[in-house]
Amino acid sequence: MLEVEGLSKKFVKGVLRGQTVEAVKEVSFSLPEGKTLGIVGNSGCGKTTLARILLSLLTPDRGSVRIDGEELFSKGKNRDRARTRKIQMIFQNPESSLDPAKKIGYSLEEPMKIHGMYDRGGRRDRICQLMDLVDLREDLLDRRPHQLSGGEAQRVMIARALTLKPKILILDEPTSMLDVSVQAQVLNLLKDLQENLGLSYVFISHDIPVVRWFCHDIAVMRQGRFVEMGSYCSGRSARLPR
Amino acid sequence: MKLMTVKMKAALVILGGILLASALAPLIAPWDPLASDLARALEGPSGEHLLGTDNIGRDLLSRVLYGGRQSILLALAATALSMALGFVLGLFAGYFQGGADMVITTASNIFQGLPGMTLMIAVAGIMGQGVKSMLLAIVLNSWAGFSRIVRGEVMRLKRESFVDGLKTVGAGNFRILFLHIAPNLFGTLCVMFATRVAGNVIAVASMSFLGLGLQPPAPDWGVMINDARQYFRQRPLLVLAPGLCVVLLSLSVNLAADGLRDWMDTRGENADSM
Repeated sequence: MLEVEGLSKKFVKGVLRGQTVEAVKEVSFSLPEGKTLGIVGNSGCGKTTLARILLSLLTPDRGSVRIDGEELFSKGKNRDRARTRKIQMIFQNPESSLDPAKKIGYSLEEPMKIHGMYDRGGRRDRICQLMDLVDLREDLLDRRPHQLSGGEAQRVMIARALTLKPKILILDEPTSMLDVSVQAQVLNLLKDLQENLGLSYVFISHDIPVVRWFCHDIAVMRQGRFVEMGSYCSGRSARLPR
Repeated sequence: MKLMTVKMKAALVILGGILLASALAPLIAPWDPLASDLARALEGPSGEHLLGTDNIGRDLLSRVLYGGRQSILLALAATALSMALGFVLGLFAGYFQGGADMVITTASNIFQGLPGMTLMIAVAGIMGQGVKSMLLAIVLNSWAGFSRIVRGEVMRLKRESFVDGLKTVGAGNFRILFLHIAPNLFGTLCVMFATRVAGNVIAVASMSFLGLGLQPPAPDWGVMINDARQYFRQRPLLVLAPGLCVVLLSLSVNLAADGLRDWMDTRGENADSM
């Protein structure tokens, strides 16, 4: 369960530091377990800033983010690894989201190493299990990112986000750089994962039809505010044609 | 992979030849490069002395063969040291920005603005002659180029989304910087190193020529050219042979560095289409 209340973030810009831009203004929402919130809005409306705050890549000026009742930004505390790992991200451009110099297996193992999860063999098993979960062959583990297709790379990113057993995934236009046929596969995969693992998604997109199909609730963002919010349930049970 | 160009092949053959000849000098040199024989000074080429002898009767061919050994090693060492220094400073400046960046970037701007040869002569003048001060002089002259390019590359890589991805899975700054950003600079560093070595071969030879680096009677191309200046009209080979070696070495290293850069580029393209 993710609860966001009164979140605001200002940026100072301009040569003389005179201008301020409020990228996120008083944003509040709550996202129950297993549900998807779609956020739509034009470029520069603050979607990405909001995502970066949720990932604690940025600190908000005001407001609170609670995951299962635990505050993400308590005063005087730096970001805490155990807490931030509950929320993970899938990026827009899968090809540049993986270190080009590292093999896929390394990139998948690394988060677990950082958090000291399992021993070596246990991590290996978990990687194989995750590759299976996202429908990838295990021989891809020895490849480098540029040897993967966009769809494969995005599946690897999904597997990597899942290594830390998060509750919430932030999907920042996860399919906008993929071919249409691959888009449907990736979205169906994400939907299956949500049903099986009870994940909550924050889905950021431009693509209204996809959002209507994919999301339980939809928020429209403009100039940093949520200007409209509502549910959209009717079409959601169907699967996209492959 | 793209086939090597003729230029690249020629460069590698010349470079390989010079390196091999220098490495094998003790085996193939017909005379001791330091043994003088005043009775046979300034002789022209003959069966016994293939390139003739210098002003105190030392065999020119043997001295030319020996002449690259120290300067090549010195050029490599100086380049490695300046690369190490520039690399570390560039990494920190590019990644952490802020005050450290300002200090490092200002310093590198100042060093890049100073005329290289003058700076090196000044350092050698203050530190005194010798190998150590020559190394220091060359490092001071060439670290800034490395740090500037490394800084730029780090700033570019830092904006890639894989760095944000690493932060979201909990990676700290040092893990990101040394395990992820640094390895991605490998290709750039190889090309920079090769390019810079060519310049530093000339720098070492120039310093020795000016009497600030290696000292007579060391068999070194720079020293030999300086020693032979006054006999140039009589025996032009005394200047031309070591001079040609310096030119060929730095030219072939330069061409090889160009080729290496092209090869790295095409490798990237081919990898994408695989």
